[in-house]
Amino acid sequence: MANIALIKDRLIDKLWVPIAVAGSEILYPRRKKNKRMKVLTLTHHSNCRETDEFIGNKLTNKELMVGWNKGTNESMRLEAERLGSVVGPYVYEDSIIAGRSDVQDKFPFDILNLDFSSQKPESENGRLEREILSVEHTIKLQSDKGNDGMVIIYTTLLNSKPLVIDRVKQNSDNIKIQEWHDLSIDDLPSNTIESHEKSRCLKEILQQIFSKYQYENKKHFAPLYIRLSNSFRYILSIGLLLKRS
Amino acid sequence: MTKFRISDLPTETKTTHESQSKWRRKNWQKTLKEHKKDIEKLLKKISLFDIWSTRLQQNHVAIKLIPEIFMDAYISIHFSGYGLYKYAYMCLRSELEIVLRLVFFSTHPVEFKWWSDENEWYRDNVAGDVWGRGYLYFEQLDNIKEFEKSCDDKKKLFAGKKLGIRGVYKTLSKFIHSGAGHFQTRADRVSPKYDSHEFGKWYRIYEEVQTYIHIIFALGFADNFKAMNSTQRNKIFDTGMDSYYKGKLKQVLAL
Repeated sequence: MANIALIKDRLIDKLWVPIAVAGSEILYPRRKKNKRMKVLTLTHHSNCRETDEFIGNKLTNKELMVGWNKGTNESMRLEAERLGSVVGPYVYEDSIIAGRSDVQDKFPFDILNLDFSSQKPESENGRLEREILSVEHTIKLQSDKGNDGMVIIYTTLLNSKPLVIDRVKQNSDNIKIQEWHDLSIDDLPSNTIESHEKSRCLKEILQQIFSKYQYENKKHFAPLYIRLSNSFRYILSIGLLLKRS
Repeated sequence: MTKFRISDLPTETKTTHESQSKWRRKNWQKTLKEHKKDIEKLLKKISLFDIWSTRLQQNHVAIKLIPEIFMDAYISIHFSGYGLYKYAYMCLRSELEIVLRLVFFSTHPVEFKWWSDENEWYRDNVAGDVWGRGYLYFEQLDNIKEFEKSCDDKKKLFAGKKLGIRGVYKTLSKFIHSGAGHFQTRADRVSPKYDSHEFGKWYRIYEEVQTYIHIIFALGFADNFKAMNSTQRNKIFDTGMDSYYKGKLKQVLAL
């Protein structure tokens, strides 16, 4: 068990940086000195060490990194200290689903660090379903903008609220893609509050969404699933290196 | 870029830099030491604009004006913290003015375009702003009308001359126009200095202004307010206003 700051350090060291480095070798094998990857990271000023790590590992530089925080005060702090560009104060899911053109203009990215746990997640029903919908909108946008490969990291807080699979399916199936057969949820529970089960469902659903846009996972990294101190809440982090099939 | 060195500065600039660095730091630290809880409370109040920003992100007027509203409120805290009380009040009037313009422009795209192009057609009005003379425009809006009807006289937003938005706007304007008793400097002192009494006066007006602003937002953008999830709406109710106004808003908006 650990607190959220320590967890973030573990996520950075055990998953985010390793998959980003591995991805950079596959996506940009010829770039030797600096991979110059465009990065979007949902982050928080109290710990945005991933930005230093991405720069330190020569994956990107400050100018190519876009930070996102839903708070103006936090965004200003990030802007003042570390990043070339900071988007805020908007909830990522709402902005991406609404299709804001100023946000869309920033796409595509090579590394998408969608750490929803850094955005002070609310404990409302429907949060996870909306996050997944925003991930699909993100992937669609990447695809529409001609991206052929990316590192995508999805990190979320799992609490006692249910994950309603029918809602996820409905959301996804509303986004029509030619030659795609709709989300298959036969093997998934329709409504689950158990964190392990939610974690399994999320992994399965994300894989299907990526396939929908003809992306394949080219590098296997085990997801991280960590319990928060003194609670029954967990942080789930899934990292994938996606390439067009 | 060459490195910044104080010794490179010309005489007057050097003096200004040195004195400003000292009084700014001293006042800021003193303010935070004495009023850290108050400042935290105010920052929590203005963080509510983040909720409005997200909720109103389909409204292109809001996209343009809300960051400026936030910044006026944010910088007012800085000015006050530096002991620059007059300028802290000036920010609050600007903040209030932009909020009222946002409500008006959101249903007046033509006027918003004129205003964006720096057309000052409204200057012909006697004591008028973009929305016209006084606050008649706002008093005609159904939700505001209902809200005013439901409130006691002392709590109405626009009815009293010395109370509500009308009253606070008048007070803030005195700082803009440097009315007697609304100066930055004092007879015995020129440089800005932390003053607990001055801070307290500014703090009360700051709170009052933010309360009116969140009420105006809730009434002016009632559909968006109603469409918020309960966490967001409760944050606005609990952090943005007192229980009296919370009750009246719930009643008028049938929440």
